[in-house]
Amino acid sequence: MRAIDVHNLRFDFDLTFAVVLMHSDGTIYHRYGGRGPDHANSHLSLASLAKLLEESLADHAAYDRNPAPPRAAEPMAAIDLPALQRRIKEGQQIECVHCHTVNDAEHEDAVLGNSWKKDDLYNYPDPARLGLTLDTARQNVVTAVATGSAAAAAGLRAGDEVAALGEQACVRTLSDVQWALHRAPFAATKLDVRYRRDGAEHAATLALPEAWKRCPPEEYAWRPFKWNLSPSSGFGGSELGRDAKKKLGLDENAFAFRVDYIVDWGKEAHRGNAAKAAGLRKGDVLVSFAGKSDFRSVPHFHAWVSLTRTAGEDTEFVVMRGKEQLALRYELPE
Amino acid sequence: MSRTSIAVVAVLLAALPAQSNEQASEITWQTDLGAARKLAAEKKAPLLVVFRCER
Repeated sequence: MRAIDVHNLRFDFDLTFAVVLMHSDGTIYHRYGGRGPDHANSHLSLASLAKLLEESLADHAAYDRNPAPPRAAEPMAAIDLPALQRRIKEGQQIECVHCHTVNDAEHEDAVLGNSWKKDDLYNYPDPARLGLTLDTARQNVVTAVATGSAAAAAGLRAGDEVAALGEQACVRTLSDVQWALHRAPFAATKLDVRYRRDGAEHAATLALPEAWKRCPPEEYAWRPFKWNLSPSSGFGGSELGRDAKKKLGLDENAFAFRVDYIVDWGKEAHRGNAAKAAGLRKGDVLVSFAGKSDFRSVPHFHAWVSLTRTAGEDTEFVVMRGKEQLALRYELPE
Repeated sequence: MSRTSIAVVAVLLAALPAQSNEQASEITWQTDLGAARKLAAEKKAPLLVVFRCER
C-alpha cells in the first residue's frame, strides 16, 4: 500500500484480499472481496470474479460514452499518513505498509486530532445490518431477508437482485453493497435501493434506525481493527483443542484458551501489568471472563471485551492452572 | 499483541481492453498504479487493481 493514494482509492482495509475495478480517471466501478466472520475466503470465488470482470467491461464501455471524472480529494500516499511519518521520524523502518496499517494510522491521527468517534469503528457494515443475506456466488442476489428488518419493511425478498444502493449507482458485488453502507451515516437515515425482480426494476427506501451500523462482536471479531479498541483484556493466546480440554477435565465443547502472551510491553503495558497484578501467568487457561464462557473463538473474546465492556469496571475472570481453578479479579484496563 | 504482520502486499494491475470479450485476454500486469493508470488511459482500458495482504 506504500504508494497508494488512500484518499482516493478506498476499500475495506481490514481485508486480506480486495479487488477494485476502475477507470484511469479515478472513477471506481466496483469493489470485490469481503468476508464472513469465520473465513477470509468465504465471499471469494473464481466464478464470481470472472463474472464481475466481464460485466465491468460493459460498465467501462458505457462509462466511456459519458464520462464523469470524480472530484479527487487531496492525494495522500499511505506512507505519508502523519502517523506513519511520526514512526519513521522515531526511527522505525517501514518497508511495507499493510492494508490494515492504513486503518491503524488513520485511527491514530483521528484520535490525536480529536475527530475520532467511538462508532467510527463500524466500517463497511455487513448487509446483515439491513437484514439482507446475499449470495456469495452471485454476490448481489438476495438469498434471505430477516423478519422485521429494514430490508423486509422495504419489501425486498429472496431472489431479488440489488441493482443500486445509496451512493453505489451500479451494484454487482457484496463489496459494492458494503461500500454503499459504509458511505451512509451512522445516524438514522433513509437509503434508496433499486432491485430487479422478474425482469423488472423496482425502487424502495430503506429506513435505517439510529446506530444501525453497530454489529454483534461475533460479526466484528475477524477485523484486525479491533486491536485499536479499548478496553482490552491485556492478554491473549490460542484456543485449546479437544484433547487438551479433556486433560484439564473441561467439556470438549467448552471455550478455553491458553494464555500465550501478556501485553507487558510498549504503550499498552498497563493492560498486561494489570492482568499480572491480578495473578495471571502465562500458560494459564482462560475459561470465563466477566461471567461469559460461550465465546466462539479467541478473536470473538477480544471483540466482545472491547465492544461490550467498559474500561475500569470490576471484572472477574476464571483460569485453570493445571487442574486448579482460580478466580482472578481486576479493573478492566483502558 | 497477536497482531500478525508477516506479510507481503502485492499490488497487481491489469489493463483490460474494453471493446470485446475476445480482446479482454490482452492483459498487461503492472506493479505501479500510476504507470498502470497512464497505460490504461492510452489504451482506453479499465483497470483491475488487486490487493493481497498476508498477516
